[in-house]
Amino acid sequence: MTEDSCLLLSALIDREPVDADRLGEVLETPAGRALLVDFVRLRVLVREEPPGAAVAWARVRAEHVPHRIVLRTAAAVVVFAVGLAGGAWWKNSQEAQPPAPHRVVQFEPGVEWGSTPQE
Amino acid sequence: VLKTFLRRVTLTVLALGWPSNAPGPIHAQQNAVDFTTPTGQTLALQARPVLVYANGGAAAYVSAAVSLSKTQFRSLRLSGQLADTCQMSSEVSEYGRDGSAPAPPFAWTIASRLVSWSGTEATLDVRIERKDRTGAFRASANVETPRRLRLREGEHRVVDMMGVTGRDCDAVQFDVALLINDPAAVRHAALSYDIWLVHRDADGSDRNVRFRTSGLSGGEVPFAFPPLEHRTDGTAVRSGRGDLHTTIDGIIRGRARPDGRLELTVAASRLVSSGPLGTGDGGTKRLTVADGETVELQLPPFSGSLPGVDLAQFLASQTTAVRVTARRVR
Repeated sequence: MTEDSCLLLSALIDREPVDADRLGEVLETPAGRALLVDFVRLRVLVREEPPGAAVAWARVRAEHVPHRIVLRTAAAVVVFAVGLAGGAWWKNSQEAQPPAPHRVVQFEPGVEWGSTPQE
Repeated sequence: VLKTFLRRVTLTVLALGWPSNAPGPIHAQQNAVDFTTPTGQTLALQARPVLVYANGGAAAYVSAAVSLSKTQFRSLRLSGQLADTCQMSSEVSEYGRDGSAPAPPFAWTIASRLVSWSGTEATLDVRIERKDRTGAFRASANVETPRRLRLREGEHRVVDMMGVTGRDCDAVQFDVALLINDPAAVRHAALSYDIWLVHRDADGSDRNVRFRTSGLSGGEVPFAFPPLEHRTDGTAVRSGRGDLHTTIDGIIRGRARPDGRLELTVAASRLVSSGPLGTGDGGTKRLTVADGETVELQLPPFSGSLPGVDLAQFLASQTTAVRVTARRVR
């Protein structure tokens, strides 16, 4: 059974256009026919699952989570975000300021400094 | 190709001794002691011929250096033969220290002895001798051969110059420079520099500009800041349309020391310009700092003048400094 045959049968089940001649060739093989039957069974199973089951499960989960936990989590996220932004701002503000000098010296006029650059 | 080959100039370096206190016969001096600075550096005198071409270009193809001693003269001979052109493809070889090599047709011999070392500047006694049996040169009256030289690191000084007859180049200069050889422990060190322009205007507002750079220990590294702009009444302008531009830039040279500290030489210059007119000042400061220490170097009040602008009033209430943090990174 080739991958092309699988795709062909899958497309057929999904009601997409398929090459009739190729479909005929696939269905002439026992494996092809068996795969088509499997696809039909799978489709039936999917249709039998109650619609909205997943939504109902999610609702049940939500009802079991206390509101205060949700609020606490949200507050933690906000605090973390504010801290992150503040840290970035602080870092930027620090980089915009020169470091405090450990020592201050002057170019001594006439000796180390002049109208003509002193060497 | 053959012609070019035949026109090569072969320069030969002879490291020879010279008796103390005298130009004279060249003798080997094996016992001279190299001068060593308190931080373990040795000094050397580098010499090189520089060809000056008719189009204004210049080229140096070979150089040689000899260690300096305080106790004895040390000498260096650069010899060669200049043929029809100044195109140079040089060969350098050392003939030894016994002075027994055959006398070349042309040679400079320079003997030097260190008189003193200030930490930034060396004072040298020098004796320079030129021998020319080629007839290709004529002595130039433009350069007076010195007997005492004061040299800073990296500074080249022309000590002799000769005009060239019938060649493609105009002259050959002979120049010397001071080399500082660092101890092995710091010879390949590298430094980073965090340099800030810290400027306060008359209205109390600050303008700080950062410049980060790095370089090898002992190497010069330029730095520069964008111009500070003002109106002629001294009001700071931040839009880029000021009447007066004050540009601060300079060169920093850091050197790692074996004890972990750093020697810094900071040369700064300040140019105040108004249109095509400008006036400036500048200077150099030498410091020894700890690794990572931040030092602020304050520029003196500006004393220059520009036509139509009262710079004294304009700059009286401003302060400008360069703040440097140097770190060894390798």
